[in-house]
Amino acid sequence: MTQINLLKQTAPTTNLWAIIPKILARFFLVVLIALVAYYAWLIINSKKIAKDIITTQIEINDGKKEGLHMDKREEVLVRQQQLQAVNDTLTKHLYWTQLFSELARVTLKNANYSSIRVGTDGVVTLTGNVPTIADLDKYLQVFDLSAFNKNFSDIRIGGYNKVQNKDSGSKVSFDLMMKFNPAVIQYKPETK
Amino acid sequence: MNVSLPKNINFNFSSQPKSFRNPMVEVFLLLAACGLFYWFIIMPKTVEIAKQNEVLAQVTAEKAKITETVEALKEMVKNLSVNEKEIANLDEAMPLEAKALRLRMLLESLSQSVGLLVNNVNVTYGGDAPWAGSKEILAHPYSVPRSVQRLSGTVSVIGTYDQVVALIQKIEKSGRVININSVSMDSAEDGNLNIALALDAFYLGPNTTAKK
Repeated sequence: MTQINLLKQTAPTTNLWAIIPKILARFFLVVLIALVAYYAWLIINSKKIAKDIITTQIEINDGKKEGLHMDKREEVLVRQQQLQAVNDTLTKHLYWTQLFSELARVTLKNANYSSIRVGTDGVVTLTGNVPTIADLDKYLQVFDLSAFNKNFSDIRIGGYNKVQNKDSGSKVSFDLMMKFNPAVIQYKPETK
Repeated sequence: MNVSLPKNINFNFSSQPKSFRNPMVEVFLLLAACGLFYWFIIMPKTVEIAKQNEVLAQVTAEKAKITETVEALKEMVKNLSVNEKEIANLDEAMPLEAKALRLRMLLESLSQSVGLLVNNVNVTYGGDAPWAGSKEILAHPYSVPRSVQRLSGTVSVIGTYDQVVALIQKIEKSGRVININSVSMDSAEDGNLNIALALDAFYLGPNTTAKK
């Protein structure tokens, strides 16, 4: 006998095209719920970050106040300025004794100076004497050698003349001008 | 018994509600809701949080810097009381006042210590601040604006070459920083030399015209 089932079907359908949309619908519902939850987390996180920013700014202001009102702060600043000034000055400090020892090294042994003028313009002006004209020539030739013209250069004779002296006999007096290497009067750690 | 039903049979279940749920429509609506929610709500919020994080990173770095500075300052304040000798040396090298008379006395003393005959020592002070008795400076010695200022001097002495070199060496190594600008030596009577030195000394003096 043929039976007609008019009741609603409860058994799962086996039609794939009918199941997929339902699964997708549930999936997107879950995604939507997850997005809402993520948004809620974002709001909480945003408030936490805003609070952290305010707290940090307060700490910054407190730190600034602490630094500004620290006892002896002004003295520290002056001492720092003082130390900086000393260091700056020392880097420009000049050591003239180094020039004199170098000048002695390059000077002919039988030459004598009666006048020396040196300044920060890098020029040495000398008045001296040697026994003979030949000695003056030797004196000048020394500066053509690289070992002797490292720190002194551009030697110019202003004038020279033979002078007769009762006690010491004849001498050749000369005026001389030359440039010196500014590095020679600067600080040299190995010499100190 | 055989029952034959007609083709146009109508059972008339009018009381049963008609369902409008279409899964495909639901999928479409949910997908649209997800997309719109992400695009218009979550993304702006994410950007906002990224900016907040940037600001937080900046203020955190600033805080670290200030903390470091304050700690360094505390350490320096502590060192002030510990390193009294170094501070005394610093005050000698670069005094906080001109102390022109003391510079003059120092130059005289150095010249005499190497056996030179002192002809003349001259120190020129051209600063704004009073030589002594400034109540403002005395009350707040470290609050007044300061700058490096110069004292110029000349030393005229008589002696031998070795004495002059010894004097120059002493000046070069003196606790007070003194720069010799020029040296002039001329032969004098008795085999001695007339020596003239031009020099500068420095101090971190109160500067009435400078702004702190």
